[in-house]
Order: sequence, then C-alpha cells, then structure tokens
Amino acid sequence: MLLTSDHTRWAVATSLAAVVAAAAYTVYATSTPYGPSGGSWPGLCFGIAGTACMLSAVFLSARKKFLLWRIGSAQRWMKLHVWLGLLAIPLILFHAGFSLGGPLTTWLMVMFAIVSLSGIYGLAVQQVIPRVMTLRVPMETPRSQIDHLSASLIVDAYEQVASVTGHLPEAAGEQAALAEEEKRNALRPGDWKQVRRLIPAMSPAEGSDTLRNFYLDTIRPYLHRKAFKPGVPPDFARLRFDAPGEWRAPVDRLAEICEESRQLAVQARLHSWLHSWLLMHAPLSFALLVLVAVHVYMALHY
Amino acid sequence: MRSSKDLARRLRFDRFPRPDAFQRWYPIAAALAVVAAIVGWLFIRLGWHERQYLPGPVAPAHATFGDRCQRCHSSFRNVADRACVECHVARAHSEYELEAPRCAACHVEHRSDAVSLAVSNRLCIDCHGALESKRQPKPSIQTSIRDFAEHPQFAALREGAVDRAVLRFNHKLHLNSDRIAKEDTLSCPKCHVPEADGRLMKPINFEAHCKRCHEQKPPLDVGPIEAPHKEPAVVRESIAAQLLVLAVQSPEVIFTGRKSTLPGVPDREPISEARSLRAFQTEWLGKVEERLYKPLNQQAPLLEGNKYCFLCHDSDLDSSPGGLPKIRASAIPKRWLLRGEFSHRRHDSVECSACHDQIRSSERSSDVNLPKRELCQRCHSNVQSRSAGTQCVLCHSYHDTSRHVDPGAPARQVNLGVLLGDAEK
Repeated sequence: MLLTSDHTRWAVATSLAAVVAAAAYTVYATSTPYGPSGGSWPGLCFGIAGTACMLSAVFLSARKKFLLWRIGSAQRWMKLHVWLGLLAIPLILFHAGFSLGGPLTTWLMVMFAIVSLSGIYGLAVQQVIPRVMTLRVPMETPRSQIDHLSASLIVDAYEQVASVTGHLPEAAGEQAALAEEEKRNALRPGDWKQVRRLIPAMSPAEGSDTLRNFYLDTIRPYLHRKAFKPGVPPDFARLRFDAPGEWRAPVDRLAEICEESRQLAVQARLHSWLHSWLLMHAPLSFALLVLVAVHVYMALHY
Repeated sequence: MRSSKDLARRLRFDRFPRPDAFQRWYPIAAALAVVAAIVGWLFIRLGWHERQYLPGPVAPAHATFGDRCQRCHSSFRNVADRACVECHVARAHSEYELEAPRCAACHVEHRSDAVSLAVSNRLCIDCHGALESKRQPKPSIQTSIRDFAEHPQFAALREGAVDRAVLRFNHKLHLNSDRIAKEDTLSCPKCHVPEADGRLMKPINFEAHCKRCHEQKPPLDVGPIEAPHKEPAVVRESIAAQLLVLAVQSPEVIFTGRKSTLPGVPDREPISEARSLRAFQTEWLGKVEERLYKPLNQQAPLLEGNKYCFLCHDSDLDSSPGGLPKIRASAIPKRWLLRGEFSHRRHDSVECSACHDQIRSSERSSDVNLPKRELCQRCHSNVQSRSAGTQCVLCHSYHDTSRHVDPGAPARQVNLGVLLGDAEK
C-alpha cells in the first residue's frame, strides 16, 4: 500500500495517540515507586489498548476472506491495519515497561518484534518496489501469468527460428507445445486468442546454421533458465551482422523475446521481494495471537 | 515490441486458476507458525513449568517456592496478605494509620532481588507528608516530612534533652587521663562492642570493662575481701561468707594474735575482740560496708577519696531494710534512636570520633554524645552525586518492632514447614 496524502489523517491521529500514550507512560513511570509494570492498572490499560490494536490489525485477514461483506472498503481496512499496527508497538512497549519479563513474555516480545519489523519492512518495500518495477519492467504482466508467458516465449522463439531453419529435433518440447496449441485451436476455431504462427521452413535456408547454433547454444538455454534469474540476455550484434537481410525480422523478434523474458524474471524477483515478507509477517501474527491469549489468561489467573 | 492486444491474447485466465507459490505457501506457513508457537510454548513449559509466567525474578527468600505459584497466588485474585503472614509475623504500623496497606503494596515481588524490601520513600510520604490531614488528634511526631532534609533533629538531641542515666561517667577523663597506664589506655572499642547483628552496642559490663581498674576490694587488715558488682543485699551475703572463710582459715590472725619469733618485732595483736564467729562477722561486715557505701565526697580527690560504689552510682534517700543503701538503677538507655534503627557495623569504615566528635571533651554524664542529624546528612543527602541514600527504610521500619513482645526476636519467623510444603510430602 502506498502511503499517500490519503493517510495524513490516519498518521496524525496515530501520532497523537502515541504522544498521549507516551506522556501518560512518562507520568506513570516516574510516579510509580518501583518502576512500571504490566500488572499495574496503567500497565494493564496499555496492554489492553495494544492488544486491541493488534486484534484490529489482524481483522484485515478476516476482511479479505469476506470480500462481499459491507464492513468498509479493503483500502480502509488496510489503513487501519497499518496505522493501528504501528500504534501497537509503543503501547505494547509501555505495557511491558521496556523489559522482557519472564520466559513466556520474552518469547512474546521476540515474536512481536519480528511481526512489527517485518510489517514495517513490508510497508517500506511497498513504497519503493512498485516505482522500481514501473521503471525496470515496461512489459509488466500480471504476476500469475509470468510462468505461462515464460513458457509461451520459449515456443515463440522456436517458432521464429524454425521459420528459417526448419524443424529442430533438439527442441522436441517446443514442437510438442506447438502441436498441442494447434490441436487446441482446431477445437475452438473462432477463438480470438488464437495466434497466427509462422510456418516452419521446409528445408534450412542457406547459412542458417549460424542462427541454428546461436539458438541452441545461447537463446534456448537462456529462455529455459530459472524464472527468478534475469541473467544476461544473449548478444544479438554478431548475429545481426552475419545474418542476411531476410532474417532481420526473426532475429529482431528473438531479441525482443529474450528481453521480455528478462523483464519477466526481473518482475518475478521484484514480486518476491514485494510479497515474501508476508510469509513471515502474517503467519507469525496468528502465532502471536495464540501466545497472547495464553499470556492474558495466565496473567489474569496469577 | 508486442502490443497490449498481443499480450492479452497470450494471457491465460483459467476458470479454476492454479494458486501461485505464495498462495500455496501462505496457509501452510500460517499453520506451521501457529503449531511452532504452541510447540515453543510447550517447550518452555517443559523447562520452566509455572516459572515461565514469572514477570521477573522472585526474591531469594522466596526461591524455595519454586514452581508453586499458588503458594502465594490464588486464581484471578490479588495476592492476599494471609499468604505473607503464613510465614512472616504481621506487625501493625501505628495507631494513627487510617488503613493498613496490603503487604504487596510495599513489598513488590517479581522485580529485582533488592526491590521487595526497598520500600520507596513515596509510600511513606503519602501519609507522612501531611499527617495532620489524615487524623485527629495529631500524632506526637513531626506531621510533615517529605525528605530526609526535612527530618527533625533526633529526639535525644532536641533542646532540653539530656542523658538521664543515673551513673557518673566522665568520658574525657577515661579517654585522656595520663594516670592510666599506657597499655590500659582506653579507646571506644575497648568498652563499646556492637551486638552480633551489628546494630546496637552491647551494654557496658562492669566485670569486662570496669573491674580491671575499679576493683571493689577495700584494703582491710582482716584480709582480701572483694565485693561483687551486685545489689547491696547480695553484696552483704557475699562479704559475710568471705569473712567466715577468713575467720576459719586464719583464726590466729583474727582472734588470738601471733607471738613474734623475731627479736625487735612486736607481737601481732588480734584484729578483733569478738569472741564468736557471728560477732566477728557482724563487726567486720559493718566496717566493709562503711567503706563500700561511703557517700561521694565532692571535695576529696576523685579516686583517692571515692573508690567504691558511689563513685559511679547514686542511692535513694530512703534506705532499704537492714540499713543497706538502695542503689538507683543506672537506667542507661539501650538505644538512643527510639524510632529509628542504626547499624554501627555498616558505618565501621568511619572513625568513632568522626560522628561522636564531642566525646573526648565530654565530662558530664548528662551529655548526649549522639551525632546530630546534620552530620548524617553529610553523607545521606540528595544533593550529593555519591549519596549514601536517603530512603526512609534505611533507618525506619514500617512495622513497629518496638512494641513487639520480644524486641530481640528476629524480624521474621519463618515457618519451615510451610516453606518446604510439598517437597516434604
């Protein structure tokens, strides 16, 4: 979520609440003879307020599960999640009196720190990475399509090469994919998504060994690399220099395919940075809530 | 470069899209994290048992409770005072106190080791800062005190207060006299020895501290007789017995006299004309008591003229039956600070004279040679960076130990049976 001017009211309200809480804590900490404690009335108030903030933040997950419920927009819930989550940090620290306490509370504080820091990291990353993606990935694609597009680029590249060199027995996988696509198109003849494919050459064009070798040695391995590795795309300068004029179109298309493949890899990597922190933040939040429940029950019990 | 239409043509939107890696891992990671949290908690529980819930370390004295939190805590309630008085003797504070606070209000547990007994000044000042407003009639102590700087002068040093002990003692003479042999030169620790707990000084003891120089042995022809440092009736019995022993052991000296066997040396006359042991005893008892109970002669040289009981003691005007004087109780105060505690041991790095600075010039028994409050404040001050502390509890105890039936009893009477509890079972 980008922090825009829409967040000003939330930021001001959160800051004010934090300042008021800090002032109250200062008065309490300096007036209590033995220092602050989570078990005192002010300490309990901070604890209840902090836990309420944490719970409110966790309700975002519930909101995402019930998209059709009329309980405020997802955008508003996300703001609530971000700002109440941030407010929970000072409140919980005031509740704990800036100490770790016993083993259970230490465990709780460690988890709370991880959840808070991962959340702050996530928020920071979301301010930066979308801009970086706009700059570095002009051919941005929906995240869920990257794998599919990467596979289709491999077939596209083979299509271009085969139009010059004829079928290549080394690219059996690509041939099978083209055959599968042809079969599918036959089943749905009017589908607007059908792609008109180039016809493979009946026999290799003269001097096409250069292209064939470049494809098998450089282009194909590059397109088959792991999806998250942008790598260095093949250098087409020598091929362009050697290739006859009628090959210019397929060679340029091959260069485009490699560049698009690289951008998809960059996008996949940026996406992983953008979302991977959630794998730590969200699950640990649930675990934290379980332990908070134990802590609350035992604290009230004793 | 492909157009948006080209791109759209190549996208595949399945009716039932396969979740991506993040969507696949998210529920698994959430379940794993919750399970890990519970396993982690159980792991902590295995190692720490109930101690995992401790918000901080317990005081060392409570360490024997181990995991038995319920020894003090009851479910969903504050720790009750009865949990404390099960082991500790409960003592009231003052009759002026409106409401006695809970034990846990002052003795805070689960903090640092030192906190449970280090009661904050603030708790004292809550009442003693303005005692007048709390209750009528006013208590007989200062009703407003917020800091040691406002502490009144010690009662024993206030105007008009004197040492009312009925005993003549001249500190100046004893500490400075050139008539005391060098090896016997007195210093404070020769007479003033702290109690085992290091707080008060042990009472001065005649046998241990005075007798070496002040033997109660009147020089008499009848032989060596020593008066014990007891009440006159006991002294009389002791002297009578010693006289009998002398009469039986040396009858020729007392009753018959002794003929001289040396030329030029006259015969020794009997020292008593009594014809019976009883008569002898009565005669000489009177003579010895006359010496012992000779009234203080202010005009005579102090030691030459006044060697015995009334050098130090006074007697009441009326004599007890049998003609014996009635020695007034010396009434030396056991403690000078009636409401406060003082540990000499904790101050043993300081010379005695640093606090009792007037002692070498003190000639009168009525001098109160207690250091003044201002002297304490030189070290116990808030303005110093290295203050010795100004906590009220350094000297004062909330619990009124002075009214306890046995002031010498230890402050805590721990019931070991309760302490050991389940362990013994």
